[in-house]
Amino acid sequence: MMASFCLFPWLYMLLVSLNDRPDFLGTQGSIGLSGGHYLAVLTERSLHFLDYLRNSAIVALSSAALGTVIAALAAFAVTRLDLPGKAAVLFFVLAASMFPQISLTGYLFRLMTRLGWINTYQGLLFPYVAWTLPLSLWLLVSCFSQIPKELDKAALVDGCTSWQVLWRVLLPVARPGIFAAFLLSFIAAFNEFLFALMLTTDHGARTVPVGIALFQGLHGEMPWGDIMAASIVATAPIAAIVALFQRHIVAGLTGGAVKG
Amino acid sequence: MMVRIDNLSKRFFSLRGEVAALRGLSLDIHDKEFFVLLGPSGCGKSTLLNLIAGLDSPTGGQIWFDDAVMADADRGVCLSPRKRNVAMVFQSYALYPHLSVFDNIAFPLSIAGMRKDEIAEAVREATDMLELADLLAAKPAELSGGQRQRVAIARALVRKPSVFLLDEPLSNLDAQLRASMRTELKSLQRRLGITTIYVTHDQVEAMSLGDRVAVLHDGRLEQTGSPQELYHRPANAFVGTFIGSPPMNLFEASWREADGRPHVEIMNMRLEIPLHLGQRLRALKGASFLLGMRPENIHAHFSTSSPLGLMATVRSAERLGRETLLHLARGEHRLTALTSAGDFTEGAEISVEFDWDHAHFLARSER
Ligand SMILES: Nc1ncnc2c1ncn2[C@@H]1O[C@H](COP(=O)(O)OP(=O)(O)OP(=O)(O)O)[C@@H](O)[C@H]1O
Ligand SMILES: [Mg+2]
Repeated sequence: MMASFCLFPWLYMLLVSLNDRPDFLGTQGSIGLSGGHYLAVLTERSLHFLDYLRNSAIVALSSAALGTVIAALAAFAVTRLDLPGKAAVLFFVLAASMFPQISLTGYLFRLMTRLGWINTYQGLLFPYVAWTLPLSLWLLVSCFSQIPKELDKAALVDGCTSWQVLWRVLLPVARPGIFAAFLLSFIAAFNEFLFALMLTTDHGARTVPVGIALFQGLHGEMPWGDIMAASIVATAPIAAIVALFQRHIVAGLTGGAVKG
Repeated sequence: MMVRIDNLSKRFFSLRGEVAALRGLSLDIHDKEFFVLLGPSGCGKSTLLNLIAGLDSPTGGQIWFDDAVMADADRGVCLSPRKRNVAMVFQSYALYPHLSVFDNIAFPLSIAGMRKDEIAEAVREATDMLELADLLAAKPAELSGGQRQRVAIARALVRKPSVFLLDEPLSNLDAQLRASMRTELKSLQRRLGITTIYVTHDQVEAMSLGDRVAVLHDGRLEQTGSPQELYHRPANAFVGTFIGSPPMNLFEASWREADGRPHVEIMNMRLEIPLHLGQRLRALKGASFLLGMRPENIHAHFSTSSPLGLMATVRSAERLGRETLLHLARGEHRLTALTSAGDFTEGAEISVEFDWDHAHFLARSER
């Protein structure tokens, strides 16, 4: 019941994208199936859909990677080192993540204009890292703090330096959590709309969600078939990733599973 | 390797304020010795072990291995664990969950940068010794508690450490396994001749394993000695009651000499004691002290008149197998006696007799 309710829009998308008639909305008659819209989306250069897809992939992958590395190092520092005021850092990060996105847009736009980073990958990369960091940091802090301290002690006695403890013991043991953090920030960055809309101007850096939304602008009328086909192509990888790694994400989110 | 601990102290600064975990502790641990640190929970055993391993730095005092200083609070010296060549086994085993048994045991060697074939050889030797050869490919999660403990011991020994530290390594095992691991550990230590420091709160473990045992209480050393010494000549009331099971009876006592004969007064009764004990009582100075009597040195009789006239009521009888532990009452005083006759019934009036040759005259502890 729940599942069919959730899946209905997607099914509708699928149907529309496969329809070959422009007046698909009156669907009493026969529904002609065709891959025409997919072909158009994937081949027509003027739509730039493949550019958008590439941009999205690059920006989302690199921001997820960078964000996860930073979050892992920060989580190590917070859980393992003797730092003054580390609880304050965590709460500050949490508070910062509560800021509504819209309140940052004006400032971000001016910053990026100044830097000349409008419509570049790095112009999206850094806001995305900052935006996904609180979530991955909290995730990894909870993951690291569940690894027993005796494991660090054992590694130190076995001759490790602090870096080796992190690299050879903590990171491998925390792998499910790190993986979950990476996937969640990848998905968040891949789906992000507002920053991408504001900070990109054309297919040089524009990401898929914005690109699809702007299909209409390019052609005057609403090319629903193309929009739906593009949406399917763009969501398919995410859906596949989630389906494939669901177990890992859940395991990472719920922690545990690290007891020796 | 000889380990010398000199006036060591450790204070923690935490949210609940300053905690003194060790207060000026001095110990000498001999080469090749099996040394046991015994004490109740929270007395600072793990803290001491961590300081010896170099996982933490002392706030006062020094630690020496032979004549090399490992930590000196005054000079701000504290060597990291990797420079001390110590090995440690933890209560929770602390195996690396992502590594196989082989890689767990090989880990310290690979960190040390040893060659692959040398590692394989050393791991084989260690696993043969601990009968782990069939489990090399398994992950820690697949092992039983006893097997995990063996892996942890193999990982510690594979490096041929100069000091071997164990922090309550057997407390997660069931009673049977614990007993067999105890003998195994002892013979392993004998064979390898590694100076071993073993932490436990279980006095049976301490007595059966240790060449010498140090009793810790509240961050201080109460007594060091062989298990026999601790049992037969406890230095104070804490050691007396902590060692021995069931625990020793303690009586508030005072003594005096009447008609040239020594008497002690306990439980509002004056008892005459053998002459030669007067010497020991005189040495105590002061008239009041604690009299310690182990339950096995208090004999219970049915006869209603005892030569020493000490009568008591049986509150309950606890059968321990071969023997029975009698919980006795005399007025508001309580005492326990161990007897091999099993037919004492609750509420019975019996007479008890002290075996004065095994009496302990203990000074009241200052604390
Ligand atoms: N990191 C720390 N911060 C603050 N206090 C600590 C810390 N580590 C230990 N303590 C305190 O020091 C005292 C001794 O602790 P320790 O762990 O050495 O006890 P223990 O003898 O090993 O006890 P157990 O048998 O329960 O393991 C305790 O009061 C403990 O609360
Ligand atoms: Mg402890």
